[in-house]
Amino acid sequence: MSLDVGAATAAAVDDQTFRSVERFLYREAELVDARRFDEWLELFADDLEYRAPIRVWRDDFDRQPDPVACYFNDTKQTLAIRVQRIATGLAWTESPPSVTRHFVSNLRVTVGSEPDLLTARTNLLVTRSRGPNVLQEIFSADRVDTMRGADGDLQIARRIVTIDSTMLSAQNLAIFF
Amino acid sequence: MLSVTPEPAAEQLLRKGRDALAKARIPAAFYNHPDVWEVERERVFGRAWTFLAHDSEIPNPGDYVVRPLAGTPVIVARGADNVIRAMFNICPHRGNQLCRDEAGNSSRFKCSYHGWIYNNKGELVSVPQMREGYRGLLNRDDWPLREAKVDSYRGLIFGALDPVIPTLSEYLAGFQFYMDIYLTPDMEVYGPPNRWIIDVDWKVQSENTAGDGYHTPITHEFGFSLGYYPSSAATQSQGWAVHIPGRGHSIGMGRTPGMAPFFWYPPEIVAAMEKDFTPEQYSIFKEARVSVGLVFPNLSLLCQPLSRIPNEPGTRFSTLRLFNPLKNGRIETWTWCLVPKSASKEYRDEVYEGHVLGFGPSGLFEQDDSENFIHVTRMAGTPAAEDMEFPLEMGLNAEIEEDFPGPGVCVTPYINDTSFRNFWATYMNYLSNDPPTAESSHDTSLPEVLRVS
Repeated sequence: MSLDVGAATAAAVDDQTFRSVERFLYREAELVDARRFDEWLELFADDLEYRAPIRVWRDDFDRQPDPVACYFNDTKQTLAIRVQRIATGLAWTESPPSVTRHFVSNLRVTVGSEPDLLTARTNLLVTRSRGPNVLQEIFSADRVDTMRGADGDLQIARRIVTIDSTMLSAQNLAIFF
Repeated sequence: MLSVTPEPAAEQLLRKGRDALAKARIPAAFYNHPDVWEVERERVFGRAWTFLAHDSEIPNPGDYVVRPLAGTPVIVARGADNVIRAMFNICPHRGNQLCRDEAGNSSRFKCSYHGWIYNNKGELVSVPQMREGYRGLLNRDDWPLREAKVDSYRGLIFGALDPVIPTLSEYLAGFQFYMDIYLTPDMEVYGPPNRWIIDVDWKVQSENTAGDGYHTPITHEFGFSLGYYPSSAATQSQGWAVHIPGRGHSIGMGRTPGMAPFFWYPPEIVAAMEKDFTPEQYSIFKEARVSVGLVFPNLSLLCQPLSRIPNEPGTRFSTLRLFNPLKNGRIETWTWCLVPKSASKEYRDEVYEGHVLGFGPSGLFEQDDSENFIHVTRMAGTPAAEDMEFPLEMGLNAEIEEDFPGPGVCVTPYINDTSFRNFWATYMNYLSNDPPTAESSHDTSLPEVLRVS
């Protein structure tokens, strides 16, 4: 699977569409950092694919994201289960909750593969802080969202998060990307 | 490198360890102490077989992966001659790291410093300026890549640094019987492993995977709450705890009375298992709900049923989990998902999806474990731990299941410290004894108190 450098080849969108996607992604990041997960889930379509491929350190850069292996591969239903699990109070690794901060930048919005789809590609930096630990966990990633709908009712149908590092330095991936 | 004399502090710890074990206890410091690490890195990891790779990761001549072997990076390569070797990823000329990527296919490895070139059999095949610099006098045969020993069982490739280590077959000492539950029908890896670095001591992980059925209903309580388990808390404890005495290998098999044999395996997989298993294996494995095992010192084997959606039918996944120690209190975890070679793509995808939802860095169960293991490790590194000991008493009076058809020693129920006592006793033997040889391996009898019944 080669990296889909969509911005270079696909048609860019008008400024109004760009702004609406940008507002949407900032709002989404705000909800997830505020741990308003039920509202956050509503931003995803029912046929969601939410996936993080594994990167393997290879000479062939385009082959670094592995085509099959991943850190997570969720549907809307399993993503909702992850949220439910945290709500049980029995997810010890999120009790007390982590503090996360999503930095969403370098936004490129292009027309998707079908007329009603948009592709939003961002550089993502996520920090996770846990209690008295001195060190934060930091994840930098390439994030590609496929979105549906128009301003006001945009939804994410597909989110592919390719984390840069091949060896994660993280207790776990109990947070959302 | 095997002749290191333990420092006095380590000697003291070893004595404390053996004294405590004689009372069925373990000193807390063993879960995270730099002196312990200095000794165990040579005496355990320098003398044990360590898992390196699955042969389906390097199916073709020239394929290679770079893997850790007791702290030494090795290139695990299938040579042009189809022989699998584990070669130190260190150029013998000036010690530069030879191979920079971590997977690929190549006929040769060229050092980026002075350009010595090795083929995928480890032979030095080219030296720049041989005539001008060496006057043609350097003997290339004197400078091959250094090799570790390699041996395998049903696709699992192990490496060892100890030149006199017994064969893998002798080392496993009958544990192959239980490894087959994870390796039947013939398996291959679904893809490259998940890897992450975590502040957990390798022994915290290894001990748990030696068969800790006790933690499940508490650590993973959410599973009951969300309806993930096909068993109740009341039946969770039932099953077998089996260990290979003096070898450190063990397996816990949880069973739930009345469950359908091999539930959630598709019929063609069950048929393949019926064909491949011996009658003894079949009679045990058909009843096993979850099987969690350890190949000493740090390879975990896990087979578990999981439905992605609670209360709906699911699949069983088999996973290999390696706890590669970086130092005391810190490991790299490597996890591979095994899928049947002959199965459909849909089935293999479904198994993998179950696996990543349950285990690996984002896994719902793994997340809980990591939280506990980090804190056990952290507390064991505090001054308070110097004088603490933990009980290993559960199952001290357990009856041996004499009629159990598998090798090793079997006790019930599944929740039991017996396998942990065997893990720690084996570990202490490694730390204390002379290097093992084929003749005098680790068959030293356990102290009386560590035996069951």
